[in-house]
Amino acid sequence: MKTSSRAVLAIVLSAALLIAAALWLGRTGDGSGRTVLRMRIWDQSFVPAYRASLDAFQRANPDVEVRITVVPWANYPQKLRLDVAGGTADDVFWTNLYEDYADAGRLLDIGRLLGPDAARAWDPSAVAQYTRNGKLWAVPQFVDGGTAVYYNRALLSVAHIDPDELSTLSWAPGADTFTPMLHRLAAVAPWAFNVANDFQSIELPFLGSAGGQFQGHDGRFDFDSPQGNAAFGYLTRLLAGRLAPSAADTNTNTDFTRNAFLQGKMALFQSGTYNLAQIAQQARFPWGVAMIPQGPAGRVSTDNAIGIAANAATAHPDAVRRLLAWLGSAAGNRYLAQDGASVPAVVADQQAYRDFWAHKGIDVSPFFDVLRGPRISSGGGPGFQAALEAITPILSEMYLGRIPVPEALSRAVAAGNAAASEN
Amino acid sequence: MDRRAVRRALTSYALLLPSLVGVGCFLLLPIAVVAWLSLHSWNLLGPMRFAGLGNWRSVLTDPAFGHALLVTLALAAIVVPLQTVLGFAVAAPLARSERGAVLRVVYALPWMCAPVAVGVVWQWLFAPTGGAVNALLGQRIEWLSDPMLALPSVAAVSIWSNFGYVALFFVAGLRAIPQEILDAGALDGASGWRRTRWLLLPLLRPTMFFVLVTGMLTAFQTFDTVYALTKGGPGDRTDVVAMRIFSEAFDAARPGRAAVMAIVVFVVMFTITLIQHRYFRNRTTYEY
Amino acid sequence: MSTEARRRGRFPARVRTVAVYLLLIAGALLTVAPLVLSALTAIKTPGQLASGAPLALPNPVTGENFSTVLSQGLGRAVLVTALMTACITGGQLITSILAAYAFARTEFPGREALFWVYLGTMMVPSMVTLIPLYLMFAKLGWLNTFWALILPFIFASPYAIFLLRQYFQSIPEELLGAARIDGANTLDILVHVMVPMSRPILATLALITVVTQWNNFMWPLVASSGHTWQVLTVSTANLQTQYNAQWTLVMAATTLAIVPLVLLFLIFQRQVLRSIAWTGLK
Repeated sequence: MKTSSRAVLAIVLSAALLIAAALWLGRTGDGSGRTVLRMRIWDQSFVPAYRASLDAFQRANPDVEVRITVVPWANYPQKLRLDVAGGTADDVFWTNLYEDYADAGRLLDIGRLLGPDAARAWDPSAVAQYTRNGKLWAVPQFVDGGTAVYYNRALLSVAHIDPDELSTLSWAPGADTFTPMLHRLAAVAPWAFNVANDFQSIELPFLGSAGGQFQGHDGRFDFDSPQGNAAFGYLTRLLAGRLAPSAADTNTNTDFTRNAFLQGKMALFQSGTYNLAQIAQQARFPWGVAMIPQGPAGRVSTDNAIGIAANAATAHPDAVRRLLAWLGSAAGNRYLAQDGASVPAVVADQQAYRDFWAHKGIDVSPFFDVLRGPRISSGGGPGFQAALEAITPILSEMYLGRIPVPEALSRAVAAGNAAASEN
Repeated sequence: MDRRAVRRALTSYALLLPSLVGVGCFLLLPIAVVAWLSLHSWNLLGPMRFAGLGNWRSVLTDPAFGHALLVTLALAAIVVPLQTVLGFAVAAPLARSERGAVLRVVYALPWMCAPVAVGVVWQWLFAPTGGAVNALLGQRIEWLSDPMLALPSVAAVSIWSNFGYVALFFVAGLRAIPQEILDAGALDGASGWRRTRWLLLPLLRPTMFFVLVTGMLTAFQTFDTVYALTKGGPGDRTDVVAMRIFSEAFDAARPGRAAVMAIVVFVVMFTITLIQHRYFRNRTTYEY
Repeated sequence: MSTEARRRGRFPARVRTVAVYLLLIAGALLTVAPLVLSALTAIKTPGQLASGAPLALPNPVTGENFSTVLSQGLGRAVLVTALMTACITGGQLITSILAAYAFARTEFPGREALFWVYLGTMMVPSMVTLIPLYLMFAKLGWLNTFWALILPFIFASPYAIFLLRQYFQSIPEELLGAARIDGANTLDILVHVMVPMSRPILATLALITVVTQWNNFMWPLVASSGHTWQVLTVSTANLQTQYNAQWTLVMAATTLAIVPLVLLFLIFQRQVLRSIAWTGLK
C-alpha cells in the first residue's frame, strides 16, 4: 500500500477511535422515567449538605430526581446570563444579583408559586432583599449574618484589655473610644485592626454606622454624603496611623488580613460568619467574637442573603414548586446548618447554627445581635457588578492615600452611576 | 492552459475546504454578528433594541476606553520585543543540542502552567510584605500598587510566561537551516554576534514575522495575567482593553458596547500587522 | 580568518560554551522558581498556608490536597480534557497542513486576500465572538455535548495555518518539482515531501495546540454545564469559592494538570526533533 494511503487510513482509524471514546464518555444514565430537575450553585462545599437534603426530598417525591451542578463562583453571573439567554439554564439556581432577570420576566414569582404565607418562615431581611416591585423572586437559602469582630484573646490579655470592653466601644467623633483601644493593641501586635477595601465587612458596616447608605432607593449611589465622608475619613485616618496593614498589601491580596489574624499578627479582625469555620479550624490562639464598634448612628451591619430562584422557562413548573417548597421549609433548609456551615434562612432553623457553635465553645451571638438594629443594604440592581468594578479602584487609591477622601468618594459615586446606567 | 489553471485552482480550494468551513461558520459568522450587535442595545435577557450609532458614539468618546488602548499598546511595546529577544537568546544555543531538550522544556513550563496559578504565585512573589522579590532585594517595593511599577511588573510576568514558547519557534526555525549553510558561514569567518546578525537572523525572517505578529496579537488580548495580578489597578494604570471588553460584555451586560470595542481593537491590530507585513515583505527571501 | 586567529580570540570556544550553558541553567532555575513555589504550596495544608509565609517550606508535607482534588472528580475532567485535546489537535493539524500548503505553494485567485481574511479573524477578541458562537450552539441544541467542545476549533486554526505557511514557504521548490516529475500528485507531495520536511514545526505546532486546548477556559465553561463534559480548567476554577480560595487545592490541581503536558513535551522533543532529512539538495 502506498504510504499516502496508509497515512489516510491511519487518520481515519484514529478518528474512529476518538469518536468511540467520546461516545463512551458521554453515556449518561437516563432519568429512568423520572422528572429530572437541575439545580445550579456556585459553592462546591455545599454539595454534601444539599445532596442530603435533596435525597430526603426525592424519597418523599419519588417521581422527581434533582441533579446538582456546580459552576465556578468567579464566572457564575456571566455563565448564568448566557445560559438564560440561550435557554439552557437550570430549573433552579442560586442567585445574588437577580434584578435584571426579574425585570426581564425570566424568574418565577415565588409568592404566586408557593403562596403568600411561605415568606413568613424566612429571615425578613432576606425576603426584603429578594423582593422587587412588590414581588418575591427567590427562596432565601442562607444568610451571611451580621458583621462582628473576631479578637485574639492572647494579644488582648498582653495589652491588659478585658474582651468585654470591646462591646462598649464607639468610633463616633467626639466620643471615640475605639481609636485609643486600637493604639493600645498596636503596642503589642504589628497591626490592631483590618481596615481594607473590603466591601461587606468593613465599608458597609462603617458607612451604615455613620448613618449613610451605599445606594439610594432609586439605585443611584450616594455614599459621598457627609456620613460617607465621616466613615471613610475615619478609616483612612486609621490607615494613616498604621493601625492596620498598608493598603498596598491588602488591595491586591484579599486573604492578607485574615491570614494576618490567623498568624497572630492582628489583634482585631472585623468580618462575617463566612470566615468562622476557617478561623475555628486554623487559629492557634484563644479567640472570641465581639460586637462591632458603634458609630454616630449606632451599630449597623449588612445581612446579605443567598436565594434560589426558579427559571421561568422551566419545563417542569409543578416539580419546581415542590422542590422550592421543600428547600424553603424548616425541614429542608436545616441541612444547610449542618457542621455550622451557614446560617439557614428559615428562622426556625437558625438556632441549630447557634447551638452548633455554642457546643464548640464559641458564642456567635454578636453576629445576630447586631442585626437587631438598623440594616444597611448590600446593594444590587442592574449593572451593580460593573459599578463595583468602577468604584473599587478609586477607593483603593483612596486607601493608598493618593486621593483625598471627599474627592475619591465623589469620583467613585460618579463612576459607579456611569457604569450602571443603561446604554 | 486555462483548464489546467482551473484544475489547479479547484485543487487549492479543495485543500482549503475544511478550513473554509471552520473559518466561515465559527469565526466569520460570529464576527459578523458582533458587528451587527454593535448597532444594538441588549442585556442578553430582555428585548433587543436598535441603537444605531449610539454605542459607537459612546465608546469612541469614552476616555476609559481610549486610556485602555494606550495601556495595552504600552504593554505590547514592552512585552513583544523583550520576549522575542529572550526567546531567541534561549533558542540559539539550544537549537541543535540534544542535551538542550530538558532545558527547552523547563523554559516552556511557565507557558504550560494554568493562568490562575501563575497569577496567584506572582501575587505572592510581588507582595510588599513577605513577598519573595522584596525579601531578595531587602527593600519594600510596592510592585503592584505603585503607579509607575504596576505595568512593568505585569509586563514582566507576561514575558516570563511567554519567552519559552517563543523560543520553540526559533528552535524549529533554526533547525530548518541546513547545516551546509551554517558551515559555509563558519568558513567565511563569521562567528558569534556577526554570525547571528548577518547569517541567522535574515534566514529566520519568516519565523520572526510570525513571532512578532502573533506576539502582538496575544499581547493585545492579555487578560488573565492582568486580572489575577492587579485587576486593572492601581487606578487604571494596568486597565487593558481586554478587561474593558470583558467588563462591558459580561459584568455590565452591554455586549453592544463590547462589540464596538472589539471592532476598534480589530482595526488597530490589523493596522499594526499591516505595518509589520510591509516591513518584512521586501526583506524576506523564502528560499535558500 | 585562520583557525589560529580564531583560537587567539577573546575567549576560547570551550569557555564560551560553558559560560553560555551556565547562564542558561541559571535562567532556567529562575524561570522555574515560581512554579516550584506553586508545587510546594500543593503539599502544604491550608492551615500552613494561612499561618505561615507563602515561601515557607511545607512542614509536614501532605498529600491530602491531591487526594481531595482527585476525589472531587478531577480524574474525569482529565479524561474529558485529554479527549477534547486529542481530537482538536488531530483535526487542526490535518486541516492546517492542507490549507497552509494551498496558501504557500499553490497559485489560485484570491490567495492573498483570503489569507488576510484568515489572519484577520485572529484580531477580533475572542471574548466577544464567544457570545454569538454560544447563541448559535444554543439555537442548534448542541450545547452540553462533546461536539460543542470541539467543533469551533477542529476545522481550522488560522494561527496554525499562518505558522505552517511561513514554514512551507521556505521549503525549496526543487524538491517539489522533482517529486512532480516523478509523477506525484498533491496528496503524495504532502505525505512524502512536505510533512517529512516539516517535522520540527509540526511537532512544535502539535505541542502548542495541545497546551492551548488543555488550558482553554472560557469556551468550555460556557459550552457545557455539569459534570459530564467538565474540563480541567473549569474543575480547577470550582475550587475557588466566594470567600475562601483554597489555594492549596488549586495548586494541587494545576500541578496535576501540568504533568501530562511536560511528559508530552519530553517525548516529542526526543522523538521527532532528532534530525532533519535534507536529502536531495544539490
